[in-house]
Amino acid sequence: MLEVLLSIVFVVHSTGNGGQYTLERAQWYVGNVELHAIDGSSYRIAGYYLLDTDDPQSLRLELPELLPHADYRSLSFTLGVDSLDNHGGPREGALDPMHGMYWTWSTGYIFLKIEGTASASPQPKKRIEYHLGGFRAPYNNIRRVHCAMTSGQEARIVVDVDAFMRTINVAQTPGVMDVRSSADLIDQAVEMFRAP
Amino acid sequence: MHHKIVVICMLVVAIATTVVQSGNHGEQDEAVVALGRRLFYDPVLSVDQTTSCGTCHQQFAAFAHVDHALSHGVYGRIGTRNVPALQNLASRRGFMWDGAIEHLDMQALSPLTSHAEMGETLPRILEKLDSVGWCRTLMTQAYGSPDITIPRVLRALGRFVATLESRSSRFDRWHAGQDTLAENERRGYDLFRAYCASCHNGIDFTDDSFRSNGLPLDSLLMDHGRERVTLDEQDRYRFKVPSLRNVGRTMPYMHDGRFKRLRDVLAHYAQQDDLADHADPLVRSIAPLDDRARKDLIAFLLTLTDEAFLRDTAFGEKEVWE
Repeated sequence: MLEVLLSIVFVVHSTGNGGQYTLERAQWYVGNVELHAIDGSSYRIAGYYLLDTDDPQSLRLELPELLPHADYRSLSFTLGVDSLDNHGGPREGALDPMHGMYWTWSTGYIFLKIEGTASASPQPKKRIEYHLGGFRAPYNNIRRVHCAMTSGQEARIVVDVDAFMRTINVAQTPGVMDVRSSADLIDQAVEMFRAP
Repeated sequence: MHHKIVVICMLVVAIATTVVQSGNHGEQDEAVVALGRRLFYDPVLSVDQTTSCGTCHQQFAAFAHVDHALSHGVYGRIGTRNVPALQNLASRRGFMWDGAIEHLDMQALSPLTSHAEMGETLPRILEKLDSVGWCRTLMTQAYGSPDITIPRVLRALGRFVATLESRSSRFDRWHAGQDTLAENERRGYDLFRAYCASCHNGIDFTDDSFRSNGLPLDSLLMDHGRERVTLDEQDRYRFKVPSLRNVGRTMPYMHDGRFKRLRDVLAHYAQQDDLADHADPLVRSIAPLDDRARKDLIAFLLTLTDEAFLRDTAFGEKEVWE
């Protein structure tokens, strides 16, 4: 049976919405990627990736395994870190606490960071900082993202930061750093990820 | 004028960072503990290289910080909570006074990076450990290769503090039928079971829960306890029920070290007159205890002192440097 090597390329779309904001850095976890084929079969790859706009290479995921040949039409992944992995001890690689994606004062990993400046921000230096996380009820903010993909050896996913920023009243919410506020924004964050 | 920025990343070289499960492959338990102990006592981990874990966690005080109400960190900074004792941690659920850290091997992250404690960043810790000769050697002995990584540092610290086991107090020996308790200590134990053991229960005298002990809020510290972790108002003013092992040596007491002596603690519980509204019902149900009852209770609590633990050279700093 034929096998394919697939890469997933995340393309960050951030025009600033007409000068309203500037993205400086985005980081997010992609976990347990699953490819779904048109015949109903699916293929899951366990593990986490940390994507970081400061490290452009990280935005291209080469899946570590050859996939069974199939007509893959959609993919899904966990935006964040599953509960079980959140409870575990220190991990090497993407989950290494050294990446700064771990809250020591509030339990668990930060799933997504979007940082920059915005003209409407009341914060010093017009900073905006959205750090989303939280894995325990009532603030379970772990989400599965689903995206359509075209068949081929490279899947592309647009990360539409413009769309995310359009949902936020920056003057009111220039930053988020706890699990409760994360709950208000996580579904908008999921909407950022879409097919091109 | 604002430029439109469209970041499109299509790089040929791809590096995927996948998770490598920690596992025990090639890990030598004793060597991991030895590495952890070396790290525990090394001030190189702090930003100004003055403060080690052992600076505030003193063995003779059951690894609490004797006579310091609040933790003391780098550059003379003062934290907001009392340094807790470190003992029998492998049996605990949830660490820190508010349970923010749930895995013992992750716990060190908090003091290492806390501004008011060791104040260091994780990348700088790696840089500094990279520049000292012993670290690669001990890493190799512990993990089979010289790589210095934060998960390895954390795991070693976690494994070392997990060895800090105190289970040989006079009370333990009495419980095993190998020692005696005096009459007043026995009376104290009966009182303890009646009034304290609802929360301070089990082999380590804690139920690992978070409760309000009715202390009025310190208006300067404004510490809301576990609410910060759960964001649940019900958890406001709740703190971890601490183990009472070696409690005769871990003064001062309570989450902010506000009481210097055990008798101050008992007075707070026994008098019941300045309990805050948020006091746990179990704290409210403690009967007024007269002077003799309090003395008996303290006599019992002192039987929880484990001299062998407090002097065990396997845990101490001295041999680390020899």
